[in-house]
Amino acid sequence: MSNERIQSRPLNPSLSRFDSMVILVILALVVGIGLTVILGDRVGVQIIRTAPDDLASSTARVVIQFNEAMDWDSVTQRISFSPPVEGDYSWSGTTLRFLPTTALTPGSDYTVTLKADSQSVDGRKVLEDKIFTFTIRTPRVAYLMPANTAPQNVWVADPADPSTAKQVTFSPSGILNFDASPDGTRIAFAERNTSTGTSDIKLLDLENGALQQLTNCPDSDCNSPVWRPDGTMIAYHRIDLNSDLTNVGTSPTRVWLIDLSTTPATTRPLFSDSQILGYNPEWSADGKRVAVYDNNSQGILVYDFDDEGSTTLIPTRNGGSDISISPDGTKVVFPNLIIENASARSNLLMADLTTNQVIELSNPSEPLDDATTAWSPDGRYLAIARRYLDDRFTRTRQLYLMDMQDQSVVPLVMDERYFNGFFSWDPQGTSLVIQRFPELTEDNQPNNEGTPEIWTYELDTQTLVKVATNAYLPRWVP
Amino acid sequence: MQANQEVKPILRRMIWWLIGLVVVGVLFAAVLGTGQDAGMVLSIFSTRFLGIFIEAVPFLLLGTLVSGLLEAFVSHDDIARLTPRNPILATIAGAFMGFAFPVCECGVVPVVRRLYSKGLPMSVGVTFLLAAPVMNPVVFISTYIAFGLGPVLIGRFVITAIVAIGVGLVFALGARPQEVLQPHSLMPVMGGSGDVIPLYAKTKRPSLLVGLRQALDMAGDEFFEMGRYLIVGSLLAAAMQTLVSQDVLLALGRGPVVSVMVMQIVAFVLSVCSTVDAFLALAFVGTFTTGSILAFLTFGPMVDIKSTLMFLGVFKRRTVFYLIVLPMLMTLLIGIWLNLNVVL
Repeated sequence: MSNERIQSRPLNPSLSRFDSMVILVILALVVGIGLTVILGDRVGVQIIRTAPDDLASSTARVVIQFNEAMDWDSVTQRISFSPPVEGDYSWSGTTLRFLPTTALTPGSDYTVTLKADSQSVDGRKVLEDKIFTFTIRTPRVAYLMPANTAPQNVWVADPADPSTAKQVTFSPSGILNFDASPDGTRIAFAERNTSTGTSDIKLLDLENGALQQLTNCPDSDCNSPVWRPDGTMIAYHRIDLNSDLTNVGTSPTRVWLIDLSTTPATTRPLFSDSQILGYNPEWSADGKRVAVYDNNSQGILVYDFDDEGSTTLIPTRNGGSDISISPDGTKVVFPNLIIENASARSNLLMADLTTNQVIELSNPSEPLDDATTAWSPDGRYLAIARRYLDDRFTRTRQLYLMDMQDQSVVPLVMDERYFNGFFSWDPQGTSLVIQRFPELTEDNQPNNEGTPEIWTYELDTQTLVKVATNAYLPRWVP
Repeated sequence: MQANQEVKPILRRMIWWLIGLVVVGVLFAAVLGTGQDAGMVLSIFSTRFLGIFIEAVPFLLLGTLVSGLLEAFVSHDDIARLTPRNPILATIAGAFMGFAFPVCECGVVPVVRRLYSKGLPMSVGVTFLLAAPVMNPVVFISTYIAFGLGPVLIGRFVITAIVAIGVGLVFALGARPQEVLQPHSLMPVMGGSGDVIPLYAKTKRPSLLVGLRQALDMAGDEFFEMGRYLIVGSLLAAAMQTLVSQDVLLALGRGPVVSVMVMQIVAFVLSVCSTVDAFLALAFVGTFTTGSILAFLTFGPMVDIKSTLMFLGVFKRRTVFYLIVLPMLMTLLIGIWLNLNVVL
């Protein structure tokens, strides 16, 4: 019966009812696709992320991440800042970054507006204006405390209200040294491992307290982290202990890098040539160069990341403890040892990497003794720890300010009871944080019970504020 | 006259093979014309062929084993009892059968063919065929690992269900098994469509050992039968991958409309197994629209070069064409609509 039915209804070899139905469905789908396209884009290019939000550091970057590759010009032409901010744009995939040329003003609100109609490379548009606002927080000061007993931990204080200082690390073995990230959200620190006796670099997120170990140094001392100003790398000291090798002592210090742009973070030596040593890395503000002192070549090596890792050697006889590289990375200031009448002192030399010339920044025949220096963020001034040896003599080094346009020098912080050690500029270039040691008591007697102190000095108001006592190694947290 | 009729299909088949060879030859010549080393091109081709074939073969084996077990242990009565009477409900149910028979696009074809021979309604088989490569626990886990619980995972399963059920309903409402299926797939029950009500002699369920032996015999035969299609499909897919650069396809465009088409073509050409394609799709996140990635993850498992060839072992050529075009247009429509109307 069934076979008869098939035979009695021979199939149409051309178009059956099913074929017609499928064709109708296909036509309906094509019309549906056409209508969807004609009705147009109701979503447009999506902005996945903007930063900063709410509170930001004065060195914060403005970040806008899109969901597709954008036409760069169409985006940058439609971005505006209120108040106006100058800076440079850079792209990484679908993410736009804006780095202000100068630090943003603490306490100010900034509004970023991206106008609609910015286009992707495929012609898709941002359909609505995107507006976001953030406030710049006042830079804080981080330091190690206490100085006279172990263990030391990192504290963070607001210079405007030092009583609010807060402990942020709680290491039982103690923190050896640390540095704050350029955006002020993280702290990289070296912590002693109590079981191996070695040290490792770790990362603390100041916003959520999360900890991350960056190095694994079971037979090395890994310490002295220094952030690259763009926040993508950390330079640090690595000393291999070689405990598994007989008759081999501890290796000299070498500078290594932690690359934070990779996931997970990776680490490698700064110099691929193991014969090159180095310590005290100093980054230029643009992050393109890093200067280290190399004991083997008895000079300062400036490593250029832009020029395929080329290095420039600046011979010096004074070691590498007080190198200071200009914000644009083209000039390096360092002390020069002068030995006369069986006594030693230093004047300052400045190497110009663009002309390969070394000039005397302070006159060697002048009766002075210069040591540590720090460039202001705009490169206009140089803060100098100096003491004069003539009638301007001070028992300890005081802080002076050199105008780099004419090399004129004015006193900045003068109190000879204090020895002024480490100091650095805040991102705006308006304040210095200084580590000071009270060598004399109030009545100018030797201070046998003194401990290091942390102070800030505001240049505009010439105000000195004591932030912490019995503390050392101050760093700005932008 | 009869001899003439016998020669005609052979002649037609030869012409098709000739056209195919000419096309492949022209493409090879075009590639070699760009200055590439012939040995290198052949090496890439063979590597890609082996990659596709070796990846797919275990799943085909699994599918034929399931098919053999079905033949041995599942009776016509079981299928009739378990299939909903309402054709629309039955078609919808077909989309979720993958959770009972977790097979990918290579393994699903022999299973569907076996189920047809057991009386599964034709439209249910079509829905199962299109949905099962995605709607199964293995693909759920792999997609979850790649994308997490989010729009891609949910979208992949929802879109697959919509498209598979949609195509299944078109077949349920308009098609008769004898105009859709190959004659050998129809036998002996005519696809269980209801057009034919055959009378079965009640067969006794075999013992476990005998059943397993039958299942293995059946699986072996079917593996080699379907394997032919897999080999030819893998050869074609490898040739397309070698001759048509993926970079060229991707460079065609990333806009909300073109990106969906491009990703459909990429999915069709790459012929990646649905159990691992989520990890491949992950590489396109950020550069391609979410709608296009969903189109890649839904259309690819339903139809690709190698499965197209395998479809020819079950369905008539025109039906295979419909089984490509309908899912393609549906996923295209959904992908474009998502890109232009939904924030994902």
